[in-house]
Amino acid sequence: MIAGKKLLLAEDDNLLASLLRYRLEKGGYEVSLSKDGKEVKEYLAEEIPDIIVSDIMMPYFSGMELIDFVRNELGSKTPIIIISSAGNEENVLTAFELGANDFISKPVSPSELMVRVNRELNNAKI
Amino acid sequence: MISKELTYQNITLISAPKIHTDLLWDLTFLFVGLAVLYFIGIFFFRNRLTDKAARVRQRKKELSPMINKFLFHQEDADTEEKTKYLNLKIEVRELLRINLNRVVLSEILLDLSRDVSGDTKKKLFRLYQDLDLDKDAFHKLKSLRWEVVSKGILELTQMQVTESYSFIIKFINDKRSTIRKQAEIATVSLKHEGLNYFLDTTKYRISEWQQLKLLNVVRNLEDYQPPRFKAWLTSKNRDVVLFAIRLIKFYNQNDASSSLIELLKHRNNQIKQEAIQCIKEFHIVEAMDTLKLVFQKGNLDVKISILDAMAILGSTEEMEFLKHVEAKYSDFAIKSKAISVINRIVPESIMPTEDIDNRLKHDWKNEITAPIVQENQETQDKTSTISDTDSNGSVEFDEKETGQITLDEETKEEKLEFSVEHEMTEKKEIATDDIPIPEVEETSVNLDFLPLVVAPKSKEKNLPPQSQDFRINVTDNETTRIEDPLRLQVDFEEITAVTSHVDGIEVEEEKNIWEKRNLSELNFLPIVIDNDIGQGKVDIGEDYHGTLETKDLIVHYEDVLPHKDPPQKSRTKNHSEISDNTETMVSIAKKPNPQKPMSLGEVNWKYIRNLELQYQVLEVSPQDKERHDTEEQYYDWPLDGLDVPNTDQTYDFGKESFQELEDLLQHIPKPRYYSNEILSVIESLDLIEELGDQREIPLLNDIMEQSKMDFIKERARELIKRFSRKDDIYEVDWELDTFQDNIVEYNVFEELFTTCDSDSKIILLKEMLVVGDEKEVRFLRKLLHEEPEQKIRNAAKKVLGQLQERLSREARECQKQAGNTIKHKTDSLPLEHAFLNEVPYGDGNDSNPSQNDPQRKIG
Repeated sequence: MIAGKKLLLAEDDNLLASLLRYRLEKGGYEVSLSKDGKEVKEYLAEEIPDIIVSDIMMPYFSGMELIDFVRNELGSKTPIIIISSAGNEENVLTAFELGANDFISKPVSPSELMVRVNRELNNAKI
Repeated sequence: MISKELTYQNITLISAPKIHTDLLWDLTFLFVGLAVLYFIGIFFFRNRLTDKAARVRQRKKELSPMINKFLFHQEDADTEEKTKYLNLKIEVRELLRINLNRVVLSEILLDLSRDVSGDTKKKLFRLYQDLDLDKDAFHKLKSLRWEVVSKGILELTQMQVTESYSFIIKFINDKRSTIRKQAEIATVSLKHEGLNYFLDTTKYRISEWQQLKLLNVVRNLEDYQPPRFKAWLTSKNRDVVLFAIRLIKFYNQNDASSSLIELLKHRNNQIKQEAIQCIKEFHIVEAMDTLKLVFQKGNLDVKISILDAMAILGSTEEMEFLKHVEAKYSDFAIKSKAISVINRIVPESIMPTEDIDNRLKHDWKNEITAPIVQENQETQDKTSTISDTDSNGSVEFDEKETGQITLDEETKEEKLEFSVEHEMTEKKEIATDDIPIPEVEETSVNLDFLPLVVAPKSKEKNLPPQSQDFRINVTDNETTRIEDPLRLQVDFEEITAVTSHVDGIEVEEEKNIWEKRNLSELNFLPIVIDNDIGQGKVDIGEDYHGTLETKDLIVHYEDVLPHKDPPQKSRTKNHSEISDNTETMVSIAKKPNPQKPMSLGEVNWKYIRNLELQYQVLEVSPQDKERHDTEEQYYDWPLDGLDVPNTDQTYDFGKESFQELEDLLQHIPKPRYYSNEILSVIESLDLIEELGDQREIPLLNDIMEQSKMDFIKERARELIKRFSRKDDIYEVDWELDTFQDNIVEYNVFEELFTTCDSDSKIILLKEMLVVGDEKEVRFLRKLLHEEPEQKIRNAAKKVLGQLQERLSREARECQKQAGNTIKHKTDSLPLEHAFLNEVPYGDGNDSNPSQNDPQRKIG
């Protein structure tokens, strides 16, 4: 079911991005990695993934703007999971208001992220 | 000719030395050359740094996928997966021979440890130690540079290397603050008992920020059982006491009431304040008496804190004390806090007085029924004029008691124009900005117009003095002439004077006011009184007839004192002086503060004695002084502290019952004294730990056998264990330049064998055959004796035979081709294929040695 699902991972930290990518790919996802807002926008202009996992703080184009872009400009209901720093509750609330589906705080547990991604995809299917 | 004359040689006044032009040129070239060299140097080093950063970045990109594979490797993976994993391990081991790779790997793991959590983080910690990167961090601890040591401690702490605990705790009292602070956090992080050790041994100050960081570390420790922190309330280190109180508060350890109450008497205000907070939080009512006791000696913050605590813990019993505080202290903060506490204990016992408009108390019913005097209807201009007072009667003014003026019967004939009522039936209050004045008695004349100290306006100045001496605004737009001033009630509105503030006193700005006025205007002087003489009365004299000549009056007056005014002395002046001194504004006197002297001559020594002296005693004990001298003395301190009982403290238990005494003693931790023999053993162990090696093992065994103290035995056992380790980090020379030489003796397969399953062992044996050498032969022999599995032993036996054959053949070839080195060990290995036929293993590609050569892969 999961195999072949497209996942967009937007994370500017190379090491963490590489780690999460490896974990998600091992979980069966086809992961596209974007390191900043520009790349995310370019990717989304071409195709909409099945799920988006995005850091809130990114160069050029923040996670908030990404959610707004996906929900309002693209009009897509693609599940979005945001990664936020600990103690950044305000941003999380704003993200939920904008239309984020779930969030995970740093430091990230890759296994937990995997579970959340699976769950969101299942919810989306329902 | 002219130009020659202008040269400096011809000007005798110039005494500059002659410098050869060539020398100047030489110097110019020299400095230009140096500048060029400087810029080239900068360019070179900058490029070098940039290149290095680029290489590190590139290497990180290459190595991070390897780390990912390590982190997410599953134990139950299939054989192919396991083979790849083992190959990866071998590859990484090879990579670790290069220093740059070790540095990059450390950085990757440290970065990731900040970003990941859960199982992944635990695997990360394990991997860090598996790759022996912790030994690099240990090596950093030996550096002389503080930043390197600090980085080493940080790495070990971040990667949770608990074995480093005993090495790091030595830095707790390091002279270098960065190292010390890093060590403090490491000590608390690495072991749960670290906080106890830190509080026991630290001698330096612990900053507020550091305390916060330590608290943050402690609260994030998993399964942490905090000790009873009251044990550190007796510490000699003031910051330890402070931190202990905060920890007590944080962990709600409310079994330290007596100690906390005792700490209220501490000289340090910060400790005092923290104890008060604690007492307040734990609701220790027994502290009330001590709180009152220490109130006077505390600084402002302490006083406020005490009052704050009283608001929560106090009862009506404290009212007396609080009222005393409210009356005694002139400081607004203390005063208002005391009032608020009183009101909290007994709600609304003190009502607001400031800026309260008491005119709202008018009896409006009486006003409706009172007859309105119809006289002087023509004076509807809302003003009333007071003619010269020719009264021979006296004017009494009792400011002290009521702030009101009482007129004698003789003043009936005064030509005053007022708005009147027939009888005065209600009490009046005059409220000024500074003096709350109590209610007046019913029989007195209400002279609410005490602000009659009115700045004349320009309009008023033009009026003839006889008719415009005294003017007030009259209610209902009426002015009337009255016959009997005693029966008057005057309603008025305040006329605000144009004033300026001088030293907190409102002073009229217009300087020549008195010059432009007739002296008879001063008929209102009776409101200017002296408290001390005649109880606020100005006696004009009964036999005085005719126009009141105010310049003949002797007026006792006193300036209004501001709230925080420097002491002023009361003065007595002839009225003429007042007239001359046109800058003086006569105003309502205030009762002087009896606590403050009014002049130097009236200095009240009792007042001085009661002044609060705020100070903090700075103590420098001889031990503290010595500890900066030498490092050796410095480390001896904790031991010194063990056998020095605190003899300074004396306790008076005279009033305590025996039972209470026993209870108290139960709460005080018992001191532990060690004999000199034990101390010497501990010192020996310290020295052994620092300087010893495996040669000390017999001595340590003796200590273990002979000692009866468990902690000494435990420590000796740990040391023996450490010295017995073959790869003791202290035996290995971790100089980076010689690292490669040291690692030659290290057998990768031996370590891998300890953690893998049977299949993996077979795979490893195959790898040994391909890449093994003499040390693998030794290991295989060892395996033949120690390996429990028959299958592995058989395989090892075969591999051993083939490997020995291969090695001997290679040796023979080497002899034949002297000078040639063996570049590809696996190029001619017929026996390897024979082995592979017997031991099933992966596909053919995996066995290709070229793929297993890390140098080729990494490039």
